[in-house]
Amino acid sequence: MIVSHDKLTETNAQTLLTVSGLLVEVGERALLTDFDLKVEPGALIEINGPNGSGKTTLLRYLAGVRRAHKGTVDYLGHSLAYIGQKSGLNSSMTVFENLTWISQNADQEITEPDLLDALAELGLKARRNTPVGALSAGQARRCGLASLRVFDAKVWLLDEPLTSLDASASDWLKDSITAHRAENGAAVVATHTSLGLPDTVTIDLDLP
Amino acid sequence: MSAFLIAFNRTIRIGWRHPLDSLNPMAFFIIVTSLISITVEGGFSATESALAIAILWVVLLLSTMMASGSAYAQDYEDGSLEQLIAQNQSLYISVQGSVAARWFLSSVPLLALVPLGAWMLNLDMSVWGMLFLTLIPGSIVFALFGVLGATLTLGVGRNGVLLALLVLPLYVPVLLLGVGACQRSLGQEPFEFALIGIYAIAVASITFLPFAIAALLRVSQEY
Repeated sequence: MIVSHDKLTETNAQTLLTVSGLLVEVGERALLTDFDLKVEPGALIEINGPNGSGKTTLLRYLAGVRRAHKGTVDYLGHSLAYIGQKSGLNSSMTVFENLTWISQNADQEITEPDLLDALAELGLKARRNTPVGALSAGQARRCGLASLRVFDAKVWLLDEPLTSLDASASDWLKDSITAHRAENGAAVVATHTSLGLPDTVTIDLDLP
Repeated sequence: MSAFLIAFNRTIRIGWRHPLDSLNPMAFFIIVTSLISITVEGGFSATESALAIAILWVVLLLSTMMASGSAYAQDYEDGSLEQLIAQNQSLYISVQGSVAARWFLSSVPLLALVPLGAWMLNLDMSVWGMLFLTLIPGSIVFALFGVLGATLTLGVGRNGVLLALLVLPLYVPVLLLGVGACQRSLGQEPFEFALIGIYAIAVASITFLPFAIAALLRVSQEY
């Protein structure tokens, strides 16, 4: 990820994320060229597009998992939380241990009661000492989403967050995104199914 | 908590729950050394200690390769590696912590078996001290190169043969220096050069190889 300090002074201090001239590629194949994006506080951006159009790859560039070879991705000092298609959870570690590792990894201090509160909201408090490998796909997905409560991140990057979720967990996610936006956070979501939240900006990607 | 301790604690915790990852190389070490000792007619004589030293080193090397083949494979599969990279922690320090934990989990138990192997191979006790003095830095280098090889082949799937082909040549200098130092010590010859050499390689490996491993972990996310 290239962080441009010059841009910091030029950009609106409120802006959470700026992307300019980004080349999104898989191997030698360019999926997006000169991609620009500016994410302001309170924004919800949905990235739509058919399979293979580059939604997940774009999100991985935004998260810094893949490095930009052309263009810049600049968080202007703000922190991010990334929930990819893979759970990011170790199957032999418990729910609680995984979330503790995620918070430590993000260099964020979080107390045990806060972690338990996050798990309680998603109905996982009773499973806190269960290895993630023993959870159902939906419960593991919930556990991954609980990390959003663990992070004190301004920008949430969510890849197909509704996958494997039941109605109550989907509602929890939508409520969380709404509350996050109200607190001047923002979310960028790659999804086939719109979350249906108000004031959503949609970016449609086409097959290259 | 520092990135080193976070990675160290996590790797120890996961390793503790997969004891076979440490026990299999230990079983391999015992089986090979015991089979060699019983198939040599009349056992190893004192004059064959030089050969016994080389056998112990090679068996320890192969056992370490068994243990390190799966490094970061699970993190790659379950997306933990994505999280590690996305959160912009110092990957270099994190790799050091993870490799240190792997050395502790896999190599330390193997080192504890060395006296048993040395006894089975009838190795002259006068060289046991030198054996440990060289095997400790040697096993650290083996662990680092093993993880380097494993990260090179992340995403390749069943990577055992490829891993061996990639990494085996890198082990040779340490192997030659370590065995050489022990054999020279046994023959009352000067061994300081070989000893300094193996420690120098260990220090250089601890310092520089985590950079290479961290870079390879990032590259693994590009495809």
